Amino acid sequence: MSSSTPPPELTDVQRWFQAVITHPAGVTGGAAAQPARSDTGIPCQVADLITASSTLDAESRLSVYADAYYARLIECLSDVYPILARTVGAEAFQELAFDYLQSHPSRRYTLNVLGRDFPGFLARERPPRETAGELDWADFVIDLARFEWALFEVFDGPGPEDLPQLDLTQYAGDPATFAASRLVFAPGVQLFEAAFPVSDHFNAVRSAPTDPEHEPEWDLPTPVPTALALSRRDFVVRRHPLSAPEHAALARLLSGATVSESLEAALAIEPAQIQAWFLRWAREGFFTAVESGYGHQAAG
Amino acid sequence: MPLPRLGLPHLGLGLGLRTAHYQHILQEWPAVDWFEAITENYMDSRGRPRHILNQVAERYPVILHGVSLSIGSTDALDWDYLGRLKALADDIQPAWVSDHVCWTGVAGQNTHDLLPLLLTEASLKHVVERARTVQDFLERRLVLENPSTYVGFRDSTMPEWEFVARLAEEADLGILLDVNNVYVCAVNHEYDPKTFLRAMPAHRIVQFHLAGHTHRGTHIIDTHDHPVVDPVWDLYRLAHQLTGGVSTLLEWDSNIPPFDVVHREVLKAKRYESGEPLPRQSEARSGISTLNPQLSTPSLPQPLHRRWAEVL
Repeated sequence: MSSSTPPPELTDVQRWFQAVITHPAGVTGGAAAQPARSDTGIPCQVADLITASSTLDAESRLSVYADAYYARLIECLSDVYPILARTVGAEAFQELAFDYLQSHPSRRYTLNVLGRDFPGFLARERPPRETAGELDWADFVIDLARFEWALFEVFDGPGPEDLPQLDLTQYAGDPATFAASRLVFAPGVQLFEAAFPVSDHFNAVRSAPTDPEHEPEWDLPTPVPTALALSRRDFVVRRHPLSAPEHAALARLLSGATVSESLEAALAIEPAQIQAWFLRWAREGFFTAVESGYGHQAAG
Repeated sequence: MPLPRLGLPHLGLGLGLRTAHYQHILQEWPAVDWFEAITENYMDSRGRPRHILNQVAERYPVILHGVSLSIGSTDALDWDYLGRLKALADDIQPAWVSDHVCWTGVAGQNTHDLLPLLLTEASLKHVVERARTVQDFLERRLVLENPSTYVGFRDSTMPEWEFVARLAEEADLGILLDVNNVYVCAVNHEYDPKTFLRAMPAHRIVQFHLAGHTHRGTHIIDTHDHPVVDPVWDLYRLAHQLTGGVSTLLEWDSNIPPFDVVHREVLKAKRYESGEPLPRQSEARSGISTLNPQLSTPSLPQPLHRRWAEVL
């Protein structure tokens, strides 16, 4: 502890410390880099600020924090994107996550949102396709990341658990009123579209034994347009494959269309089939209330 | 039952509430005295994590233990965070809320690590003022923990034990004395851990933490992934003697064994509290088996961060 000179300002020490331990080149590079030197009045030599112990020099001691910084945040991202991490392999995932963290350091008290822009980052930074118009690995990786983030949002976001489930059979005798109604969706219901069968791939990877040393090499799936509804019941995320007409109808309902408006693109579908859709969606808990010309009727 | 100190109760021997044990807890409702929940893992949750915390809080005393208060940062206090913390505390009604004597980021960034403070009079004044502000806002006693640290600053003008003790007195705080962190710091900064313990104002210590760590040969990292080592149990015995005994919690956050194993580990505290002589652990069993860094996996210092692994 020195006493001859006044200690540096706490804010300068903290800005220097953070700039050094978060620098992608590590402590040595971080201490010499412009952010640490320009933001503060701190000298650039680590040993000018940090003490050594009898077993470690100052840089090695500071490296404990620097080593942990990326490792911790990358581990957090791999927890939110576990199937993506296994699909591309640990090394490739770490590279992607490391690059992401350069431009997306955490700025919140929570780690919940650290990975929110990861799919967007992957989309922005993707390499150009080798063959124009032909979907490739990057497209699949982006789809899978979007899918895992959607699952996470449904898992930890608002859900329907405290709400009653709507029984649509009570409207069977009044189809005209029902057709003019709007349906109130349960919290958590969202639609997902992808160019690849990401849900099937998710199942395949998850059911494969977890062994980081012997993770199989996952092939690029054949692109298959995929539409799903995601919902939650009893705090468990549920995935519902949708046909294209089902997806179109649900998308319109979610945007606030009436039942009849939602079916404008489904004129070729048999009425019995459409009725089956709605009954299934209601059974799955997609809806909590009906808003008709007679007012709001909650499930009960 | 010992008298409450600072108006806070002695809860007994508790465990950290961890995802890996959710199923066991919900099925067995084990006879644990209390649980400590990581605040940030639940404050925004509107899904299963929060649902489970609600159920646990109905059956057990709960403490909310935060990792993002950043009481020592020179950034402004995060009022959004504090508002959410207060709302969660109002809902859960924890016996108290705690965090760490540290900073986690500056210039708007959060490193999600418990970073060491420059230990000066100016720093102390800064943290005291902020701690008082937080305590007033929360309308609850704030309890702060001594963290594990891996560096010292040339410009520090006081030892950590003086900083923590004066902070607690001047801001009227409770102390969460992490006995393992004392040991980790004592090895890393080369001092006698008993000096730290004896410098603490015992009447302000409301909780102990126990945990395992990883010895890297040249330093120790607070990894919470091993059983508690003998030297830490010895310090715990001393801390118990100095305080007369307070709520004690075991943290185990990586390579988490089954619930019963973790529970048995914290129950060992009863034997150390009673002064019962115990067989010494072997080095291999005590968690000091990773002296060769080449043989050990990378060690991440805690704090906790969220482990999902249960989305579907």
